[in-house]
Amino acid sequence: MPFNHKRFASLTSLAMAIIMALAACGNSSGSANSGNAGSDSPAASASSGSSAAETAKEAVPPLSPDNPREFSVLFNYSWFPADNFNGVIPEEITKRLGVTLKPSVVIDNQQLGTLIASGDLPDIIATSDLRSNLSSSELCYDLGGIIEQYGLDPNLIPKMHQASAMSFSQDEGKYYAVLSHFDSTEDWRTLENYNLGAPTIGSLLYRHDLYEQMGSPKMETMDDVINMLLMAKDAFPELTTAVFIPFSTYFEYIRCNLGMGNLGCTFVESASGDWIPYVKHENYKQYMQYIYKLFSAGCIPADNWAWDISTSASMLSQGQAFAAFSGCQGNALAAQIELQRDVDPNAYVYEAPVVGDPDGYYMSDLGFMSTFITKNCKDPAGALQFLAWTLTDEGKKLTQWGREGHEYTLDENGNPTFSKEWNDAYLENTYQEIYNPFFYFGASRVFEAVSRCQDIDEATTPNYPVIRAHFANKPWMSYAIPVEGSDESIIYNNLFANPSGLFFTTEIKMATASSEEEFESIYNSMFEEAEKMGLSTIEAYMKDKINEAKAIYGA
Amino acid sequence: MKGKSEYKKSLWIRIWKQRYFHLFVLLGVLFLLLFNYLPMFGILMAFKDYKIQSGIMGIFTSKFVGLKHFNAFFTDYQFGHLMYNTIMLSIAKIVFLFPLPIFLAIVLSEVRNRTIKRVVQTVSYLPYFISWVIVAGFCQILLSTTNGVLNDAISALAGQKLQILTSPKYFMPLAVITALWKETGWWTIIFLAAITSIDPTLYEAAEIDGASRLRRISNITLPGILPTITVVLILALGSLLGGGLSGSNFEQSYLLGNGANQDASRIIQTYVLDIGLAQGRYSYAAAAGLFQSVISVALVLISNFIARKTTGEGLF
Repeated sequence: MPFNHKRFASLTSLAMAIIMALAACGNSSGSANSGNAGSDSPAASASSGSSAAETAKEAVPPLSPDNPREFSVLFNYSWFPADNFNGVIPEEITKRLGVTLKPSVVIDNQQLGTLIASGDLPDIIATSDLRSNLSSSELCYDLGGIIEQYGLDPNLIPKMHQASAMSFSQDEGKYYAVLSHFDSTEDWRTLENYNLGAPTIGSLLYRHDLYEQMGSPKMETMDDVINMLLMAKDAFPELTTAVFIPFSTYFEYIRCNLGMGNLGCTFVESASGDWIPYVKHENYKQYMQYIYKLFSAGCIPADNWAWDISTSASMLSQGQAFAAFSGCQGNALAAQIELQRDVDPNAYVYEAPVVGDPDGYYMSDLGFMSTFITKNCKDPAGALQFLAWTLTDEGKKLTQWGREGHEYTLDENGNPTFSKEWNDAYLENTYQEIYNPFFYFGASRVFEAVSRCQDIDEATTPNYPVIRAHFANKPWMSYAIPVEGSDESIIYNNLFANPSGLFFTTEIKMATASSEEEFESIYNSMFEEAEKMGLSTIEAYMKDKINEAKAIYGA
Repeated sequence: MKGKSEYKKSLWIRIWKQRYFHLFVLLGVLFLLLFNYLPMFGILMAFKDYKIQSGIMGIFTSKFVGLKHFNAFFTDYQFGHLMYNTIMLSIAKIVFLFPLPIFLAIVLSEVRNRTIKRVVQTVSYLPYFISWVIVAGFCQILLSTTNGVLNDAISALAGQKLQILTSPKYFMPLAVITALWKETGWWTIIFLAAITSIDPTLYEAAEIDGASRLRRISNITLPGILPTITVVLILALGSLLGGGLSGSNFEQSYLLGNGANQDASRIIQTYVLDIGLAQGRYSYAAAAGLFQSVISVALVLISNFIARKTTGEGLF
């Protein structure tokens, strides 16, 4: 049959028309979806630009068991244990506030991006990633807009939380998230009152029973600690000497002791007080040399890079490793419980002491979890009231400590003593199913440290008192990180992203280098490459922004 | 000769008569439209500063930025090794794996014992149905330096364990060998099917004429399956950057890749996933993905042209 141009043209046009119609349908339904909440909810119109002052304030029913509310929540952490809303704490939340949650947890760190693209979002999203993308009036509610529209208390969200949430917002002057675990240095100082606990920051857990078998070699400097690990390799060849959690707490213990803050500090304070890229810190090379030494001596297996978090974490607690680079907050106790139960009742896990600069124990923390109310939420004012409640003293205590009089009692100074059942549940690792203390959208790291470290034998954690006395949160550095989508953010991510940025990928090569010459060569070429990629540009940008942010935080 | 209107009429009559068959075709066409053609609008993203929160319409309404994202990709410090890994992994898999199913199919077609033939066929194609996630799990269990059974055996023989899971130099052999194990059996079936469609009288005639077994293979079997080989090769080249017909590069790189071996395991597809979905740089990721697709289309056209010139066979 001869080729019919007319027919071809008309068929092509028809196909295009069908495709366009389908595309338009998809779009209109998408608009309807996002607009639904907007049109149904006056809060949406407030946040979408209409002046709230021109409209009457909407009456919003208070949180109460008489006004039952249900919200779907997505936790963007594949490891997060809160996949149901059962247990003592959730039941108490419902009893007191009438709020029930329908939680779900992502499968991997790509799922949220896919959900945003599809528009299929729950009422509430708790995440540490894609915060800039979610801080947009097209996807989520501007919390200030809800407060204004419904005449809620303007201080419902503390000012410092507002300022911090604005740092990753795409809309100037608007904030979209409630932050959890956002504690100031002053908050942290209250830990000294409790005289227990420490923040989650670099630590080295080790088998103290085996350490004693080696004659308890001294651990006064970082060199001592590294030598102790080298001794352990020879003394216990059947064990993996040390493991680490890839891209999580990593080798923070070494970093902090060398004065470089935690892993999140991509910019650190130099001796002169300037904020510089961490790779330019005077101790950076030494930090990498320690890691290289551990790998080249075979103390840490290269396979560790291929392990997931649970495999790494279980090596110590299952008696397969001598030591583990980890975080504080009761991790030694947790490992010891499993170890004694499953492997050796005489095994002990201690945390290595602080052997370097105690002022190096700092982080730049804007909180762990940012919680957003999406435009799919039909009751944004109710959701905000609930999230704001989790920021209150009552909310923090209930979500993190349980019920006063049941799970804990307070002495005259406000220090808690936890019930035997609570402590046993932690010891037996049954707290998740019994209490389910994971709906902590406004939680405090200080409260968390207190509850997790109740049963710790102080002798096992010689680092805690030192860390408690020196630890600081310097949020201005995180505040200064460029907002996603900006040209600066591209340079920043190419250099500092964990784990795909230049520095992380090159550090792995340095750690696993086959010789000291190769180490030197990789180290030097990393800086050459970084300069080509705009290290100086981002350094200048961050310097200005950090100064700006320090003013906001009154530092 | 039929008139135009008569032809049209008979066309509709034929379609009506075959309506149930056409319904089956319609499902396939709809599938193609929805999942292969409709998403093509997303290509526009590569030329715009698209933000995910602007929704589907944002693809059309975002600011046009021309080739900005392509330039950024070409000048990315990882571009060189991403291209190298993507291409070398694909070429290695085609070179080592494409001939193997043909060889195995010919060998199986020559086996007279039906039981052995069936057992070999079943054993070789079963791995095809195991997902790459499971295969990656097997690799971890077998090859780990801490408790991997295979690495223990290597250590007993060679005196030391090999960093197969984490050393960049072992990633490509690992990818090729696992793909070989998983995919060979399946493609053998395709070529076996082509062999069985060869007229048996040709073999009988050749046998009567005294042709040896090798002669029969080279003069009857191979020419007989040449069209199938050509089509499969063109398709393999077309999807070269995605792993060809011998295993998905993406799944292998994603599941067997890790921080330590990423110098060899990171390819364009995993990079697109990391940058696009994890970092939210959708336009940039779309540009990188489009670049790969354009190369793939070019490869299909070139390989089809060469195949037509050399063998007279081709896809179109």
